[in-house]
Order: sequence, then structure tokens, then C-alpha cells
Amino acid sequence: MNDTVRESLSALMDGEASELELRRILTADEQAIRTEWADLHRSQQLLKNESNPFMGWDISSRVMAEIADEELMSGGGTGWKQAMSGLAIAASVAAVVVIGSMGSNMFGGSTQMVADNNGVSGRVYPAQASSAAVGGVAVSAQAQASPAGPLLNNDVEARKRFEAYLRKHTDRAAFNNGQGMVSYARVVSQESE
Amino acid sequence: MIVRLAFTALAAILVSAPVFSLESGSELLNKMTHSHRELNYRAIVTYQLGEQLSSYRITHTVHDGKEFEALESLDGNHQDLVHHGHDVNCVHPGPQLIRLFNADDEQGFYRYYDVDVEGEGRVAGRDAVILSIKPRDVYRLGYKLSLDSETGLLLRSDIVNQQGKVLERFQYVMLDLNIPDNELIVDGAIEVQHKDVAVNDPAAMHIRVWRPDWIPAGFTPLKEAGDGNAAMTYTDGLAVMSVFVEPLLTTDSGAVAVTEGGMRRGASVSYTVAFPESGMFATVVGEVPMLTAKQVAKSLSWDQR
Repeated sequence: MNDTVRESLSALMDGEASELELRRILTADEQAIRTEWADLHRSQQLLKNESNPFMGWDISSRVMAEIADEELMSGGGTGWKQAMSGLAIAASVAAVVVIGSMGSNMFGGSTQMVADNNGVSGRVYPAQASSAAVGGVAVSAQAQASPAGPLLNNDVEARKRFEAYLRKHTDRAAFNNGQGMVSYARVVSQESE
Repeated sequence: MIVRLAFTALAAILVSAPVFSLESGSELLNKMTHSHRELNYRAIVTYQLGEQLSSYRITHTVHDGKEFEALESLDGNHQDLVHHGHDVNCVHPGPQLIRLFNADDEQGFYRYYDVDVEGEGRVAGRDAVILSIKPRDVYRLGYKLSLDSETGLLLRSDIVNQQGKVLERFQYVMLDLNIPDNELIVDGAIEVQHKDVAVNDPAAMHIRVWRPDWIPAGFTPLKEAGDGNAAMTYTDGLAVMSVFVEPLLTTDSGAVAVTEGGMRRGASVSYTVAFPESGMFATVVGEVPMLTAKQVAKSLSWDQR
């Protein structure tokens, strides 16, 4: 990561980033940026002496999972539409976090907060397991910059390959998924379409 | 009279309640993993995928310790499959993972899923217990299973994505447990082979030069015969995913003919990634979230030769 990007990042942190700077950060999709962004937030919180029960948490993996699913459902959207929807999701997540931390200040207790959060976010886990998902909330818009790829359902070749693989996969899966022979309905129903 | 009625009602409650609570989620799940292989039955089962519904007749018998199984499609083209000669005592890794621990252990399978008895229901005219199985991380799908109270047979299965949407549903609509144990003759049926025999073939392990650097915790590789270098399969007990590797096809212009991307159908997804520097492409197929398939596919690495 070069110094220009680092400066832009800290400008964004202070809410003073120009559109150009924002674009610079978004196009330089790097692991280092995500880590830096998370570190910046952490150190700022330490400076302000704020303790936050979610400090070590990373919900970006869950957000990425949802985005990956959404994208494939909606099929081939254009680049900017995807980017916009990514930003929208990231913004709403950020809003939840902001409201969340306001809540914890208002109620002056972190126990309350944990209980509240359970209702909102369901299952959120630190994402150490996922190498692709380190970083702060706002940067999770980056997930959109490297989309889950196009849905190839309309590609005849890809579809044929999928059918062949699914059959081979079912030979392996049928006796390991607790369902047995019924699993082959997945293959048969596809071929008779 | 009223007292007697009340007493009878109370007795009925006392008798019926333990029947329900005696079996925990993990016991029921254990039963599910072997009952479908040990019993003689014939059933009509529907498979629903979005707007599309197809139906099948499934016949399963055990004779002299060998299984026979047939799946006949009842609508559309004739597509019949049979499977026979499978030793009923042959235990596969998936069921093994489920049987290894109890829900209280918080180990193995139960580290990755929350299993709860949700209630009772009725499927195919039979009393069923409904199990809700929720993944604890983002790399697995959820399941809502209705198991036959008497036998543990899986009568209905809904596979649910992380957002709670049902992706596909299997449901028995008729079940007959009183059938003779002789094998059916199904004309023109395709014989299927299960390919996950636990054979320790060092040669097969040796020639594989690729491996995923990341798979979600709790997924165990199956040892398999044949296809040694072309495929690997992993299971966590319920979810199964396979990684297939093939040489890249290059067109005349030298461009790679494989496009990176995903495919989805019901609960099954695939994700393909090309590795031009190795001259190969990999496809991950399985009943897992797209994110899992993608991350596994992208994590593949080749040994330096």
C-alpha cells in the first residue's frame, strides 16, 4: 500500500475524503487496506478510551456471504449497480454498528448491548477462518469490487459440465449426507428438464 | 366420571410426553443415518425446486446383508437408477461423523451445527419428529428434517440457506414398510456406484499434486478409490462438497475456454476457477453456500515439481 492510499484512508477515517480519494481506496483492493482500516479504528477507539464489546469482531465474512448469494440470485447486473448495492449493504451495516455503539453509550452498559445484538445479527463470528475477510465494516464494500463472478447458468458448456460434475459428486455424496439414493433426484430432475 | 376422564387425560399426557422427549436430537439423527439402509420399504417421494416438482418411487430392500435400491422417476422422461450389492454394514464417513459424538459433547459435528427438536408433525400419513439443524458459521446450509418417529427414516428434508430461504425440498408422500426383501427388476435402469470406499491406496494419494489450502473447519476428506488425481470429496456429516480438477482447454487463439463463475440449482452450487499457470481448472460442487465453494476453489494450490 502506498502513502497516497494511506493518506486517503486516514482522510476517510476523519470523514474528509474527497470522491477521488474514496475511488482510489476502492480500486486499490488490497488485504493491507482492510487490515489498516481495522487498525485505524481500533487505535482511535483506544485513544478515545472507548471500549466496545465488538472491537475484535469482524462481520465482513457474513456480509460477504450474503452478497455472494444475492449477486448470483440476481444474475448479471452491471458493474456500477453491483457497486451501488454493495455500498448500500455496507452503509446499512455501518448504520447498525453506529446505532449499536450509540446504544451502548446511552445505556452505559455492555451487557445490554450484547443482548440487543443477538437479536439483530443472529450468528456473527470472528472470521479468522477466512483469509479473504479481514477488515472493518466500511471496507466490506470491497467485497463488491471482487464479485462472486457471473452466474453461468445460461452458458451451455458450463451447464453441461455442471450436470456431469453433479452426477459424479452425487456418487460420493449419496451415502454421506444421510439421504441415500434420494439424492440422485437432484441429478435426474435436471437431466429430464 | 369427570374425574375419571381427567385422570385418563393426565395418564395419556404422562405416557405420551416421555416418548417425545426421550430421544434427543442427536439420537434421532443417528437413527436417521442408518435406518434408510437397513429397512425394507417402498415410498413415493417428491423433489421440489422452486416452481418445479418431480416425483420418484424409491424401493429399498436388504437381502443376505446386501442392499438393493432403486429410484424410478414417475414423471417426464424415464430415468431409473439402481444400486445393489452394497454391504449393509459398510459405514460411510458422513454417518460416522454424526455418530461419533452427542449434542452435549459440543464436539465434531455438534461444534458446527445446533440441533434442536422443534416439535412433532405428520408426513406421508406417519408421525414425525421435526429437527431443526442450524449452522453456526457462514460456510454451511441449514436443514429442517422430519424423521419418522418409529423408524427414524427421513420423511421430509428442507435445505435452507443462510438467509432462511428454502432451496429445495424432499418429501415422502407414501411409505410402505411391509414389502418382501427380493430385488426389483427395473428395465433399462442405470447402475450407480458409490465412490467413497475407504480404501487406503497410497498410490492414489501420492499422485495428487494439488490441494485446497482452505476448507471450512469440520469437513473431513473421504478416501476414495479411482479418480485419485481428479477429485477430492469432503463432508461434515450432512453437507458434502467435491473438488474436481481438469486440464484447461485452450482455444486456437490461446485463450482460456473456461470462465470463472458459479452455477446454482436447488441446494447444489458449483464454482469454477482457472489456474492458467498450472494449466488446470478446478470446480467445487456441493450442497454448500456459494461463498464456501468459491473460497475453496480459489484456495487450490499445486505442488512444485
